Amino acid sequence: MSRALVALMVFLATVGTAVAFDWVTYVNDRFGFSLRYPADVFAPERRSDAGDGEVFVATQGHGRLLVGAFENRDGHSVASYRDLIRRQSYADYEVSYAPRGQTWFVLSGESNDKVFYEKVMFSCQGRVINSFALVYPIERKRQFDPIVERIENTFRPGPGCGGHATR
Amino acid sequence: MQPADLRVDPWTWVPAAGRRRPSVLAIALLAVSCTVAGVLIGRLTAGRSDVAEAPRQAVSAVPDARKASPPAPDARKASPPAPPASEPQQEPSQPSLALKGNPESGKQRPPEPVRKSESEQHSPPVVVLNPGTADPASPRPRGQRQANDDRSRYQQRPVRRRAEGSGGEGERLEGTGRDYRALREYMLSR
Repeated sequence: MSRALVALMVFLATVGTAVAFDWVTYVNDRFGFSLRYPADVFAPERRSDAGDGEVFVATQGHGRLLVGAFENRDGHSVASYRDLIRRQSYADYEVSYAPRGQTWFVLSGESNDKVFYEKVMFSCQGRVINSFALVYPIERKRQFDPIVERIENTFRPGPGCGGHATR
Repeated sequence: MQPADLRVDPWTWVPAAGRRRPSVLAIALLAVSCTVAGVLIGRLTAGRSDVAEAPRQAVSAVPDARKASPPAPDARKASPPAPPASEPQQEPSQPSLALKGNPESGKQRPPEPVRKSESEQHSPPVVVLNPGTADPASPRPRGQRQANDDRSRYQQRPVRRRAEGSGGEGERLEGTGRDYRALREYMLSR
């Protein structure tokens, strides 16, 4: 009974921590993908000139959130793009979580001092690749994990093709 | 079902009937207090006082945006994966074909508001640190403004729209992909 109570307390505290943030909706003007993120945890830092991506930086600590989409001009499949970013972006990490669907995949893992989590969704019949990625210090894993979960739950690819990927 | 009796130090029998079970109300109170504590901890650790106000041009709080976009499971079912690339090991290359323009995108992106003149009005006056070495013939206040760091430039300037520039569609799309990769490299290098 006491274990259940402790587990309940931890769960509620975690949920409460995630709910407490000031969650706002980010909608990419160009590709239409959207997600919700805690505006009091991440502040916009840099945006691409073409409006296809944006980087947010954690207001405390060193966490970063990248959101973006681009045209799949190389005709990547889910598997090929997953292999590409695993090799190019996360070579220094040990991937521990990599589920995959027909039009999406997730990569997550840890290095000595950092944790990364990236979700990629193909849309527009595979012609647009939407993704968000988080990298944060491993010592702040407990704080960021519920945030990652909620961002993922609200991540939606755009309904269109970004106005240029139609053929 | 009657729970078993307990034998506790100093070896006295405590009958099961005498023990108090935690009531549902107590558990509920505990749950509520934990939730409140979590919310308070989240609020306290959010630390928004030392953060500049986020530019709201980029973040549009659209309550019904999720209605407009299809839910993820449907999208996963509806859109089959793209055919595998012939050379998946390579970095995504620059496009070789110019894509057709879309008039709808032009509708969605109004021309960039004139923010440069605004920033010029609000930019501080140029201070020459070494007056003796300054070249009076070529004052470069514009160049000095451009020497601001990326963050301040970003905060002053909205997204440059695709319709700008003199290049063709293909050229703009090349820039698009490069920009996303640059952002990605920037983020992962930190």
